[in-house]
Amino acid sequence: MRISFIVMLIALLTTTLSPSAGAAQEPQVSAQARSIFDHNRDSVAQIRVLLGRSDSHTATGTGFLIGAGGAMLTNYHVVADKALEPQTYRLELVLPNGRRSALRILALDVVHDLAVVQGDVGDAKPLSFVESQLSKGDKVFSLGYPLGQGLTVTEGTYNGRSEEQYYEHFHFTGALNPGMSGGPAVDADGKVFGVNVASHLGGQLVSFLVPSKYAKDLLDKAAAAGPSERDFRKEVGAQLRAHGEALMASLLKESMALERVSGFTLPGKVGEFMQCGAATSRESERLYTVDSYRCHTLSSLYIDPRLHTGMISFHHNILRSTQLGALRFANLQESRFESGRGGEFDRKHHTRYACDDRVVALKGKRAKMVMCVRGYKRFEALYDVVVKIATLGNAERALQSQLSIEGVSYEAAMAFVRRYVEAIEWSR
Amino acid sequence: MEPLAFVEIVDRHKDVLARHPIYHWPVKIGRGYQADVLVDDPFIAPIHVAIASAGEERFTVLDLGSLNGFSLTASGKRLDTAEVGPDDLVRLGHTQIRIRTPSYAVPAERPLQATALYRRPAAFMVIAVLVVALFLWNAWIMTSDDDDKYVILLSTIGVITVIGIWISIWSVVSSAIGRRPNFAAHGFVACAGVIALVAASSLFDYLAFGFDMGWLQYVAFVVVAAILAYIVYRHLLLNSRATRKTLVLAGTGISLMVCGAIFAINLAMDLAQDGNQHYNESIKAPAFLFVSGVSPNAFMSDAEALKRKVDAMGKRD
Repeated sequence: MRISFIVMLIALLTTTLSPSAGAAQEPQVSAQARSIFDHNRDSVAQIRVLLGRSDSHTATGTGFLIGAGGAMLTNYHVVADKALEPQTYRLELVLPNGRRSALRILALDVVHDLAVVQGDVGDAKPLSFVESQLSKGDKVFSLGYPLGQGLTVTEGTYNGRSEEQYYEHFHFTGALNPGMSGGPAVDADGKVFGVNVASHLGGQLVSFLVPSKYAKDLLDKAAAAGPSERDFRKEVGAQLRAHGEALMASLLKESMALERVSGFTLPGKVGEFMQCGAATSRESERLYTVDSYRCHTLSSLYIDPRLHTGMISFHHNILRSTQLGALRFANLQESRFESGRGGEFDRKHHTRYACDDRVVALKGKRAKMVMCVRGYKRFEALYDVVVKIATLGNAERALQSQLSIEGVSYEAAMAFVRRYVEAIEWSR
Repeated sequence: MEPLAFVEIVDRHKDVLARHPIYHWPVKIGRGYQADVLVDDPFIAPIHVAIASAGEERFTVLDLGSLNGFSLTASGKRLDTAEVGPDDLVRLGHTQIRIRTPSYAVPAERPLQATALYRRPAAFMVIAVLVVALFLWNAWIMTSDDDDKYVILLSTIGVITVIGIWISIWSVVSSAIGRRPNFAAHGFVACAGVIALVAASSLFDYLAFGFDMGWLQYVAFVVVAAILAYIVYRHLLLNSRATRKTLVLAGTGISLMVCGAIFAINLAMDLAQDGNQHYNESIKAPAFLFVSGVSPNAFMSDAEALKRKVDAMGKRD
């Protein structure tokens, strides 16, 4: 089963409701929620991404005022268009009282999906971070502008750290809808402990928050860097590279976890943040069976609406048949080894794939190995690497394995590919 | 009375369409009823040319003030007067004529020939059965389910239908140009060609796998194009009297067009789906693998070239 995340972002359906009209529609919530709402209504604003000089927004999100100095926090994915295409997009801040002002980016954290922005917020009073630890089951609140509606407060439950993810998230049981991205998640005292980031596709009220410690770090970084205009595209590239290095290093730190599938020893759950599963497909009319084992990282990095990266996935398929005979079995292998589309592709982002193939000897046994590489047009020294391996020596049992690594440096990818290939072993 | 000569109206293959005996010199040729030889060609004057004897097997052609004049087919240049022999073709309007005397020596009688083996219906039947068997076998290799019997049958019927249409088209062309359909002969050429195409592409596919040389697939493309050219050449040979050189050119041209179209379609699909990965996909039975394989590290250091390639691509855009 493949779990994907829907990253909350675009409220294309929204009509241009004026924020003051929105503020009038107060939702039905508890008295506590009402007080949270009343306390924060001035410091949580809507962020709109506008195309060029036009007045129509392409996306909306939420931002909130925090700390001294007028800095606001939001998600990277809310302001990504502006960061990557500063000439094409502009940002606008809409305060609850209807006042609009320009907004500029001070700092970005692509990996944790955070951004520090600054706009004219008048005399609104900033929120502050929570001091103490929350515990599972605590009642918490999330604020934002869902689907272009007015400021909304959502009541939910804090459910601790989300397991099995490389990027630390808090699990929030409550509704997060597109447009609420970048809004604050606050405890019962109205103190910020996290930033709204995503909800689970196919889940019910399974939502995620970025822990506030990363937000604090980014605010410090923004304060230290000062208000100079920077090339954020370069910075995004550098952050992606650093993230890729760290991810690969964490995979290489320990010896490779192995999995035994139908006589093959294969790379298994190589990292805590990977989700793995096995399956066997057996149909009565079929003259062969497929045993498969697949692993993938649970989340990917959002770069822009058409580009996600940072995923690592691999699968092993073991084909077995005693009835097909050598020729038909080889044909089955061949048809399953056909090249196809390598994941999502966008001409704007990716170069074409360059591939090479060779018959290799893996511990004395022959296999066909394919390597395909593509680059990122807007970020230097980042690559997607796909490796395919098909064993050749046996007419009744064959492995087809595929590894795909997104958005890492070439050297880091190769180090893991080497480990992956070395781990594969089988008896005749 | 013995004719002095014959004026022959011939088509572009030098077949005689009409033959007029001549009893006096000069002889007038034209569209009008006062002409000695009447030609119903609207591009010819009522009295177009006069032809007179100019000695043994020689004749003088004289333009009688026509609009379009005349020329010799060999040179194509308009002339007012010309001396011609029995093998020269004179072009008037859209008509060609030649003049011969009764003493003209015709070539010797040709012996009757037995029909070539491959042109006989029995040969076609045998090779057609072979083709059906080949495609049934090929389709069977591609299946891996018990339920695939209909797939085998349908795919074979599909291929047979395409070959049938191909043969029929050539037969129709043959009837129109060569006056004989030559169905069995075209059938043999088509079936033999299909077997050659399948054999050549499989051979290269197996070699590409067995010796781990993916580039052989590009050679295969050239070989397939050459075979296709030869098939078209053999079909043309059956129904055209053009020279060998023309037929070779026509065969090559048609084959290049077909292969060019396939190549263009591939390229267009590639450009439309440029996220695709291209590599040598062929996997055959273990018995056909003749290399022992390099070490994965050697392959990976060779694959460094891929990084340079995509870096260059990234810079270009």
